[in-house]
Amino acid sequence: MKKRVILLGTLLFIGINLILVYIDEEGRIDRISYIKEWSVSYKEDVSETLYTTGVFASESEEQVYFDEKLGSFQEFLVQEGDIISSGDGLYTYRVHNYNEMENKLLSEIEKINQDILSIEMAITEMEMTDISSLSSNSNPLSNFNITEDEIEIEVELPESSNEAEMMKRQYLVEKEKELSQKYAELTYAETQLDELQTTGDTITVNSPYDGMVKTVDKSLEAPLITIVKTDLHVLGELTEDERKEVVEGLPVEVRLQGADAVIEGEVFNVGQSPESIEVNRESIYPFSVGLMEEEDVDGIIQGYHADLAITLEESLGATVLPESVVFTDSIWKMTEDGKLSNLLVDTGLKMDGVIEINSGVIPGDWAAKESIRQFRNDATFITPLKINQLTRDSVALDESNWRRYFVIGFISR
Amino acid sequence: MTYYTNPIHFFRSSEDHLIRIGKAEELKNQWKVSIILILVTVLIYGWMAYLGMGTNLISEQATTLSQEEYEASKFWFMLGRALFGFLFALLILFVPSLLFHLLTDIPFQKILIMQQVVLVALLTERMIWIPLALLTGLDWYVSPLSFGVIASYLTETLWIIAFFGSISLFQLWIIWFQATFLISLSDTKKYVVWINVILLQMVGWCFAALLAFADSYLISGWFN
Repeated sequence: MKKRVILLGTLLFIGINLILVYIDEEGRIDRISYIKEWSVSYKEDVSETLYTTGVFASESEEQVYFDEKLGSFQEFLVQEGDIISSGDGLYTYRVHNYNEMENKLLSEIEKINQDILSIEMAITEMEMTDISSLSSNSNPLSNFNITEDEIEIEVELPESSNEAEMMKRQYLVEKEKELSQKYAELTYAETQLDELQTTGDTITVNSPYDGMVKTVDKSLEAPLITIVKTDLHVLGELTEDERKEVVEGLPVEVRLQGADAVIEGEVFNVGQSPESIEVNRESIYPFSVGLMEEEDVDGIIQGYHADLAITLEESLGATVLPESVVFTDSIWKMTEDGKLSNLLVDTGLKMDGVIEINSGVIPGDWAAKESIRQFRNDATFITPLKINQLTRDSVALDESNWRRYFVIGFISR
Repeated sequence: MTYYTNPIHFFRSSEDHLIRIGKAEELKNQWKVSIILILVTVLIYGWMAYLGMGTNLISEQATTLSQEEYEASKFWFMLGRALFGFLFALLILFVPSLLFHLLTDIPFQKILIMQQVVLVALLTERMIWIPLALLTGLDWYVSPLSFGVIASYLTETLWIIAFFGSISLFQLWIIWFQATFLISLSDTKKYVVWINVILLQMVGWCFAALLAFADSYLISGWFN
């Protein structure tokens, strides 16, 4: 009888204790959390990348025509397949009327010279305009005028003098470009005139483009010559889901299939409508990638295929933690007073099993990894000994605070 | 008659064993059993430390240490724990035996048997603490087998909780066991035995509470 009572009493006691533990919501009972694995956060550049393929294509085709009224065709200077640069001779013809042609060229030269003059004047005037002096006047920056081609252009000035300085510089750069173009035109016209005057009747027509001669029409039908520009770009296709993520301007890394070198580019144009719109068919959207000007495209011609890596989003120097440590939007952070704390975090990009953490974590923080053990908020954490992390040196007597830990081991209950 | 010490068998038929111990003139196996028990104690404490139990104080500094330093600290902790286990076993086996021997007149050796059984009970209690800590997150002083849970509800003072946390079902059983053992083997008055047994245990509880409460202060005091 007595034994029965004792047994019952014991079970009751344990039962009550267990219930008390179970219903403890205010954390009156100190708890500990056993953590087997954890990770330390660190900084890394993360990016979300879309991988797809593309094919190199020529940016454009240009046509060159021959005006029969100017003269009679003499000969082609190029053949199909020739690689030419701008300025190379394409074909020659004999002028019908020498004087007429001469006059035409002379007046063209004069016009170009005039154009050059006015551009140079505009440049000088702009250079002389001192932005800082304008802004230091008591009256606010007022719009001023520049004369170009005898047309007064009102130049609207922006609010700040920095912006004004920038605009000035931009304007000058544009004008310098125009100027050099005009000079090229001048040279061309002068050369033609020269040739006409020396040969007495022949004019050579030069190519205005770099590229490859695609077709030469021997029967003199228009267009006479088509030139395919060597500027290459890459064409690709996107699925519906991919299309939603890609916008113009995203950086792209282009790698010729089979090669190692990577060419930098940018998404130039993303198709607004798919190739075919049908309910039962997948919508495929075309897109093009423009290559950076300085890039070396030697040896690559139209039709070669490439692997593309489009960087959708990038975060440099982001604080990251491995995926296994992040649970939806919270992490279990191991704090500086030895406790576990459930922290809500703002996550960002994901890459290669690693997630960017936008808030709440600095590099060097510890976070506990997923496990079947229960993690409790505000519980002191304990971890098992990881022998493979021990090194000879760390355990060395003079190195670690061995005494301290030894004594802790000794006097803990 | 000769009695072969075997603490484990004792649990099965205690009355029978008690009678035999009382009558025995010669006791064998004492040293062997004692040494085995000491070794087992060291192993159990070492293993508990390996799992990280009791490293609460170290966890406080964990994030300031490098990974290697942290592991090294736990390594030394384990060694300290093993030493503790060794001394603990010696303490439990021999000190009460001596005291009770002086109190009653039972031969020291026989009381040693009693303490061996006590040690086995204590080790069993510690083994239970392992899943308790690892799986349910309860430290020793809030084990559901002790009064620590109730104490946690009634107060926040750590040393009170630790004191009551030391009073567990195992401890109560040990009191009963020691009293029964001593009474059946000696002529000392019952109430004297009971008072002394309980007193001794209470000293043990106070000491445990003291350690639990003061360890962080001691460490910072000594080393800072």
